[in-house]
Amino acid sequence: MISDSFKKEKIVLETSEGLLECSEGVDYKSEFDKLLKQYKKLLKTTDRLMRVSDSNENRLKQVNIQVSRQQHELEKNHAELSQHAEVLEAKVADRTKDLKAAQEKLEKLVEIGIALSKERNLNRFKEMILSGAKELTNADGGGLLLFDEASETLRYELFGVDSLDLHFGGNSGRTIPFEPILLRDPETSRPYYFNIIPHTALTRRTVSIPQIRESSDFDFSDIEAFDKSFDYRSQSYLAVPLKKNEGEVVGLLVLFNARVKGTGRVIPFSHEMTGFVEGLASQAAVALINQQLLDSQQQLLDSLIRLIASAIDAKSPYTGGHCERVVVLSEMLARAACQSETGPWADFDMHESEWREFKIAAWLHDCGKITTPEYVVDKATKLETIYNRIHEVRTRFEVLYRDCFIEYQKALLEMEKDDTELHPDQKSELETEQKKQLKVQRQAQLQKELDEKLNRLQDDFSFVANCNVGGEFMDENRKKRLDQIALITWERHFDDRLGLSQAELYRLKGIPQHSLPAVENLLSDRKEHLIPTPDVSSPYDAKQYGFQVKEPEYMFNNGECYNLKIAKGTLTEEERFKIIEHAIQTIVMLDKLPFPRNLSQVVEIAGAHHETMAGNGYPKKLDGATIPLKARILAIADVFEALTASDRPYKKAKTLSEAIRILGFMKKDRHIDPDLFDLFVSNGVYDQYARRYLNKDQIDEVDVATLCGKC
Amino acid sequence: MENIRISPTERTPEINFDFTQNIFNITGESYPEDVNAFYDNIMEKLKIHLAGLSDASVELNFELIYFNSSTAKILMELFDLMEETAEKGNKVVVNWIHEEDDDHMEELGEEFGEDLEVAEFNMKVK
Repeated sequence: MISDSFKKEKIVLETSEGLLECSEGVDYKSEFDKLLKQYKKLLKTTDRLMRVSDSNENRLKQVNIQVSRQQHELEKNHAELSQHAEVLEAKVADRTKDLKAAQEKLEKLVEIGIALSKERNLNRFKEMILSGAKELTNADGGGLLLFDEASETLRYELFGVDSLDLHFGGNSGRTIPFEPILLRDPETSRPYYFNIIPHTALTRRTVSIPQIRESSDFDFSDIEAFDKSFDYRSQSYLAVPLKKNEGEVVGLLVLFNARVKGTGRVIPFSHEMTGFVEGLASQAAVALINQQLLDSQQQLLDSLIRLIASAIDAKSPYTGGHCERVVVLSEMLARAACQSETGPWADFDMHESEWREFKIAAWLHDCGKITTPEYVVDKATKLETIYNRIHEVRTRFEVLYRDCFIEYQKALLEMEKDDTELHPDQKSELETEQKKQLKVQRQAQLQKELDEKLNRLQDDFSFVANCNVGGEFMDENRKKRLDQIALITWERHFDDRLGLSQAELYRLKGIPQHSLPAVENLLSDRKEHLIPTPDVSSPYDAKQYGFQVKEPEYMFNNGECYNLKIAKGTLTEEERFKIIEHAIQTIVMLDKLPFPRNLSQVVEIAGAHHETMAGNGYPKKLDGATIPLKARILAIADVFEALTASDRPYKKAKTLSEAIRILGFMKKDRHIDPDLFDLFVSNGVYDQYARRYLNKDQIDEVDVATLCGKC
Repeated sequence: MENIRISPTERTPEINFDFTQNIFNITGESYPEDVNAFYDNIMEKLKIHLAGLSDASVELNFELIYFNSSTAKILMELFDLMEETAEKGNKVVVNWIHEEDDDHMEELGEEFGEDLEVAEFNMKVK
């Protein structure tokens, strides 16, 4: 079929065909001309169309080629694109892996940071810093150096190489074999910049050496020497300063031979790793400074505690060193108790912080003694107040002695006078002779009476003096005799209100004054001898603390007979309370201190060292069920030290066996923990202590077998 | 006669026949589905108009990017028409406008221009 484009040509054709069919009267020539013309035109059109078509095809072909070329290009680009995408994906995966590793390291860093802030043991703390840094970088070796300001040196605190299994310092038990590192030449003060460690400390900047053998930045002769002597190969090296906030260097962290995890291949310390170590270093520096501050605070506190203890010890020359020795002895006994694996003390153990608490309690167990008057602590005779009043009493005896003599002389004079005044004229020889005899008799009588009186005075004073020393028990007979002596009078010719203190005058208020000469008893218990408890309310509430001690009505009773009649020892009831009160004061004083939680038991331990298992101790009358274990240890140490102390004024130091025998009685009386006593004896703690603190002549044989269990 | 303005489509060119000024523009691409349906009416009107002209100035501008073979036959007719109009004593100018780098259009323009003897034919770069 011919398309519509050739409508005209079709019409020409049809016309021609029609002419051929009718064939009549047709002008063929003109028709043929028309046809020919049409044909020519058609030929031209066809020819042109063909050429247009060819040209189009040609162009089409070119376009096609171009398209296919472009398609190829496109495919290539696409392939490249997908390759890029793959690389990108791999890179993202790598980065994710890196990020994950970084995150893990960060977590580790935080973990170490937290652990560092918790660790109180300085050695463990330092080890934690180094091991943390080694872990972060997977380094084979490293060291921690601290700066010593006084000598301007950096000292290795820790040093270790894992692959050599070589560790120095800290808990390794091996001392650091390296000399302290100087930052500057001691003579010229020129900084040692050529050495990596001083360099890092001086510049306060991290130094990373990827390969020591290829670096000429520093003098590595120290490291080379180390490598040679330990057959090691130091390669990568990192030195990071530990800085305070102000940038001041407090130490240095060195690491060497970072390794690929798993393969162990040594690599340089990457930028990232360095960042982590620097992070750790800054945390460590802060924590280290805190730790050092804490340590110095603790040292200060400990020194203050010792100061108090030594003040107490210094109060009395007789009890000197008591507090200090009790600390040593109770520590020995506590260690034995911790180590014992059988018996009632098998489960007993103490943590590190408990040791500190226990030692502080031991140091301060007698701190209440600060308030105890010295004369009470050291009261060696019954009449002692600030001084021994026996001298005053003796002076009275002296007065009486002389009175007796004066009385005798007076009697003699009287006799002479009678002679001359009454019978001046009667001078018969017989009479004179008789009188002479009588006089002689009378004189002898007076002399005898005088001698008797003086002897009695001497004897009485000896008795009073003997009572004063307190060596003998005061039975009824002795008390009666003392009362009789007290009734002896003497005459006072001087005003006894002169030269008194305000306090004495105050106590004499309302007491009538006798006219002179006044008759005084040789010994007396007077109203002014009673010293009242100060009006100011007691500094503690006995009930609130649970003290079970009866406080006497008066603070002191200085009555002469009252004191001399003390049945046993030299202390009155009032004075004994003062002694007991030191335990109360210990509790009250310590209770006021804001002890942190880890030291909260100091009061309980220190305050219960005078309690007994039987419940008759003081000040709370605790018993076997309520006395803390640590207080029992302290109690034995306290008693044993007191018994063996060689420096008591009124007692000779006891021998070791004597002291232990008495301790044995105390076990029997359930004053001390019997199991602890057994441990004390059987474990040889007493022996260990005796060798260190007792005089050689005190140390004798102790029958351990009989003492243990039997008492 | 009323002017003809036909907007271009994807397959048909823009037609702008100004019968008062005798300027006739065909611009764009031409490969209509039905060539006769698109061009018959236009061609008829143009033929009638041109037949009535004498001593006139006529300008025909082709600015084609692409055309198919069916359109090519129409274009040949247009060239014939222009030659006829010129032969009748009118001043006829045919401009063939193409892109500079479009060798194909340039070639086709030269090919078509061969037929014109009386009418003026110009190849123009856009």
